Amino acid sequence: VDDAHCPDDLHLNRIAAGDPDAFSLFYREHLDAVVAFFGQRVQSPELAFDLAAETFAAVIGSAGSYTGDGPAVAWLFGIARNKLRESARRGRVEAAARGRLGLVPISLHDTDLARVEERVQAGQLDLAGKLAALPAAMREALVARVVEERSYAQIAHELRCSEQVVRQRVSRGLERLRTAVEEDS
Amino acid sequence: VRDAFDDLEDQLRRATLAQREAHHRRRRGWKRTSAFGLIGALAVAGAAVGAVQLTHGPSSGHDRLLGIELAVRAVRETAHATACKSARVDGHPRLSDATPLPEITRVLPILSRRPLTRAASDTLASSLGTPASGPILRSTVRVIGLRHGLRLVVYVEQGGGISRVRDLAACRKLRTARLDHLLAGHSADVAASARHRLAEQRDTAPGLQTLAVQVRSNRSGGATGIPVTPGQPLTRGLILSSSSFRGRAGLYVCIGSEPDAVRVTARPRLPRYRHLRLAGVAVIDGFYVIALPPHTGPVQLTERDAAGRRLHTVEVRQ
Repeated sequence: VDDAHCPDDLHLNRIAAGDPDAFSLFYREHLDAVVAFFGQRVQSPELAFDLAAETFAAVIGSAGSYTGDGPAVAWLFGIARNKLRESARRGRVEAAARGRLGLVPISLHDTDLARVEERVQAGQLDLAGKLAALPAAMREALVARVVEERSYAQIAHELRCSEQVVRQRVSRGLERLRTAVEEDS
Repeated sequence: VRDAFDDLEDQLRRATLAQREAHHRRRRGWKRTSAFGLIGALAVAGAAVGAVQLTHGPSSGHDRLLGIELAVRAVRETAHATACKSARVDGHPRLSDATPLPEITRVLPILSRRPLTRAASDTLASSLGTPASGPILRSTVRVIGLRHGLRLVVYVEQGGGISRVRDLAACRKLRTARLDHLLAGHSADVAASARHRLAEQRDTAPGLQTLAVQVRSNRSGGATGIPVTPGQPLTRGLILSSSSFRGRAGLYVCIGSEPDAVRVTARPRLPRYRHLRLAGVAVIDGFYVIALPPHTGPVQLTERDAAGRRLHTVEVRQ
């Protein structure tokens, strides 16, 4: 498997083993989507950047704990959601993951803030287009789980199907999104 | 045009590299080690434990990480020199009457108290099943009985555990020369960080001892080796974990953070698991080992003194 087409879970294994190139590929592949995720939920671009930075720092710190039970992108957004919750609860962005790695704070200039917004838009458009292309049942489950963050049990109840079916739809939906992104790139 | 995202990527790339050795040192999974048995487990753990204790670096941020990266390169680029090749490890441990470093006994006073009899420690050391590269300090061999039929075997070994080079002095010299070459044109902070990191390289660090901890049960076991250099405090907290203890629960081995800690309580962090009551454990001779049931999410372990006062917390399954 060459680097450009290496699946995310292999990237995570390599990140856990200390491979900086694997990290770069993972970072570039998911940066827009992660920044868009935060950009849609917080008001300031500085905060979106800070949360994205903390999320990717946490990826390095915990890549070894990724078990491969679910898609890597779901694992990544799980971290992102946790960071968002923490920041909402504490009223500030936790910098623990960056602190553990010894990272220095990055100050943002006007052009950087403009890039944050560009990435938010790029991530949004990308995601919206890809989501629209999914079969309705899959899209419904994926949006309910990933975007609205509802539990599998709740979604299963609303869609009148078992939790296992919902998990499958979410997993396959994420897999298709990942494939679509790879094809684009 | 470079932007903040590129700067972030640069920093994170360096951090990925630096994390490698720290990660291996902190966590050794039983899942992997039990498959190879105890001898293999300790060999793997020892070899994987790089050499880092990044607690007192002379600089911070970018320069510190760059220094670490250059030191790692110096080690890598001299790995094929004869002096730096791995020495053959003898399968029969040698014993020594040397004393453990104060950095170890300060945290684990049991290792300086009355040892096993000479005959008992010799017998135990010979049954360790570890291909130790340096002599085992006779007075430090201990067995600590725990719940769930588990026991900890603890001892201190002179040197860097399983990783040993053929000619220590010559290898140290080669690495230093290579690092000097790599440091040309870099700042004093980068150089200080790099030299600090190289001095801690496990297989050539002067005076280094390895605290070895084995966890044994009837069916499997795991092990870790923690390098301790003179002047550097022994890291406390989580030292070994398994996500597959008896196929159903996680097991966490920790060194107590406070000397007064006598008991550890466990509490799920997520609200949906808070109603679950998790059993606590006692701190025995400075160690505690806790088995957590599955499906309880991240858990906070709280070390408490005899009066129940909270002393320190450790987060597991973060």
